[in-house]
Amino acid sequence: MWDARTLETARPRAREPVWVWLSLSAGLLVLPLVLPSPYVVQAVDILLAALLAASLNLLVGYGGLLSLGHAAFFGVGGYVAGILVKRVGLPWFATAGIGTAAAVLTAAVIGFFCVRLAGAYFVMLTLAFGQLLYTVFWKWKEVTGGDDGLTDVFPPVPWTDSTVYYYLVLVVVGLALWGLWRVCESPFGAALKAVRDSPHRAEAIGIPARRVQWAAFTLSGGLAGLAGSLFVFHHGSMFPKAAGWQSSAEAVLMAVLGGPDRFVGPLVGAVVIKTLAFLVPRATPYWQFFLGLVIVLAAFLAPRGLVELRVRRRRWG
Amino acid sequence: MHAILGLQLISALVSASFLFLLAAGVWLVFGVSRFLNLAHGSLFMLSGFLAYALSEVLLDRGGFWVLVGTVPVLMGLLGAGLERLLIRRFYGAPLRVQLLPMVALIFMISDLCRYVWGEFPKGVPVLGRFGVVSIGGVTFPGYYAVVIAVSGGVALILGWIVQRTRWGRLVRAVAQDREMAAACGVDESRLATQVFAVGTALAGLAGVLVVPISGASLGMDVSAVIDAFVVVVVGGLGSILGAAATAVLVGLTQAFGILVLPQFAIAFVFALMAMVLVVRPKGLFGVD
Repeated sequence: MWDARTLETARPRAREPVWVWLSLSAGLLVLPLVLPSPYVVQAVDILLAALLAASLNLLVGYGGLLSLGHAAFFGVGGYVAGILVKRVGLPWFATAGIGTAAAVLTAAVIGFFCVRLAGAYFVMLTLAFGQLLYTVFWKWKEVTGGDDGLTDVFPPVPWTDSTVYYYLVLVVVGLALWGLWRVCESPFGAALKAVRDSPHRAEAIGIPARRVQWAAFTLSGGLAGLAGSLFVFHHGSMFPKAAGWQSSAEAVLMAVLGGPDRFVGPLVGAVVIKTLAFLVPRATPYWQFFLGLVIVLAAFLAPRGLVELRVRRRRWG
Repeated sequence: MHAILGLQLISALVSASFLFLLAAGVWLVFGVSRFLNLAHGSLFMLSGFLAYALSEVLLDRGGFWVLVGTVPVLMGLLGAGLERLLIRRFYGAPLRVQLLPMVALIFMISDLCRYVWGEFPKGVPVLGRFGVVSIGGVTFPGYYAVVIAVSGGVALILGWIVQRTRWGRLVRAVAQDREMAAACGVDESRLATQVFAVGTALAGLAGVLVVPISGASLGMDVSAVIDAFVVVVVGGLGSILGAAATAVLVGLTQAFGILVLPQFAIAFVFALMAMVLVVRPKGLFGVD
C-alpha cells in the first residue's frame, strides 16, 4: 500500500554551493569544443528538453497540475515559426518570437478551460486538448506538411552550424530558465504553491486561485513554445509526433523522474531521459519497452525523483 | 440526403457503443479506486490483437460468439492480475506518481503488440457473416446492429447490477466513501480488484467487437483512451445510464461533424466539451 509519508512536500531547500554552478557553466561552455558534432546536435536537444521539462514543472511541481498536453505548445511554437519562414518568408529570429507568442496565446485559451478542473479531470482535459492540436498539425497537410513534416526551414549561415547554434540555445535557454526560476521563487510562485497545497485557504487569504493557475499555465505553455521555435530551426524540420502525447508524456517523465519538488529536478530528468532515448534505440528497436521497465522501477524506488535519491544518500553517508 | 443522414445516425450509434464500453471501464475504476486508468486504451488495443490471434483458432471451431465470450474473460483475468501485482500499490499516491506505472504500461503494451503482431493492422473478416440490414431505406451491415445491441444490452445489465444488486450497492458505497464502507465491513481491496477486472473485461469486449470493423492497429490505444476520457469529462461521474447517454451524444457529434468538416470532426467534440466545462463543470450527469 502507498505510504503517504514518503511524499510530504515541505522540505528545507538545500542550496547548491557556488562551485557547483561555476563548474557546471564552465562545462556547458566548453562542451561543444570537446564533443564531436553529432553529439553537439544531441546536446542542443537536451538543452531544449530541459527547458520543456522545466516549463512543465511550473505546473506539475509548483502548481500540482499534471498536464499531459504540454508538447502541443512546443508544437505550436515550432510550427508557427517554421510555417512563417517557409510560407511567408519572414526572418527567422522574428518568427521564433511570433511562434512563442502564438504558444502563449494558445496556452491562454486552453488554460482558461483546463484550470476549471482539478486532479484527474485536469489530466484528461489537457491530454484531449493536446491531441486536438496534434490532429491539426497532422491533418492540415497544405500548411503543416502533415505526416511528411515541415522541412527545409534552416536559418541562414552561420546559424546552421551546430556549435554556433548551441551557444545561441545555451544563452536563450539559460536566460529563460533563470527567469523561470525567479518566477518560481517570487510571491507568484508562493501563491501557486499555496493554491496547490490548499485551494480553499489560498482563496481565503485573497489569492485568486484560478487566475494564478491560469497565468502559470500560460507562462508554462509559452516557454514550451520558445523551446519549440528553437527546435524547428535546430533541425530545420518539425514533425507532428513532436507535439503528440508521447512527447508530452516524455516531458512529464523528465519532470517526475527527475524530481518535481526542486527546480533542478526536471533538468536532471531531461538529461537522463534524453541520453537514454539517444543510446538505447541503438541497441534495440523496442526501446519503449525498456523505458517502461525503467519507469516502473523508478516509481517504486524513487517516487520523489532522482534528485531526492541523491539527497537521501548524502544524508545517510 | 435522407439515406446519408440515416447512415450517419447508425454510425453514430456504433461509435457511441464503443465509446460507452470504453468509458464505462474508466468510469468504474475511477469511481471506486480514484485511479485514472490511462492504460485503458492500451488494454483495448491488446484485446483487439488478442481477438485476431484467437480468431485463427476459435473462428472455425466455435464461431464468432465464442470469440466474443473468450476475449473479455481473458482480459478480465489479466486485469485482475495487473491490479494485484502493480496498480494497487499506487492507490492513494499523488497523481503524478500514479501516472508513472500507467505510462510505463502504455509504452510496454505498445511495444509488445509491435513485437508480436508487427506494424500492420490486423483484421477479423466476419462482417460478411451478418449480412446487411435495411431499415426505412437505409442499408447498413448487420454487424453494426449486433454491436449496437450488445453494447446497449451491456449498458442495461451494468446499470441493473450497479443499481439493484448487492455487489452494485457495495461498489456505490465504496465510490461514495471508501473509509466508511471499509469500516462497515466491505472488503474494499477485493472490490477494487473486481472492479478493475470488470473494467478490463469491458475494454476486452470493445476490443473484440471493434476488430471486424476497423481492425486492430498500433495507435488505437491513445485515441481510444482519449475518447473514453472525453465521455467521462462531458458526462461526469454520475450513473451508468448517464454515461451511456453521453456516449450517444458524443457519437452523434462525431458522426455529424464528419459531414460538415471531414478532417477536423474531432473539433466538434471538443467544442461540445468546452461548452459543458463552462456551463456545467461537473459534467452533464455528474453529482458532487
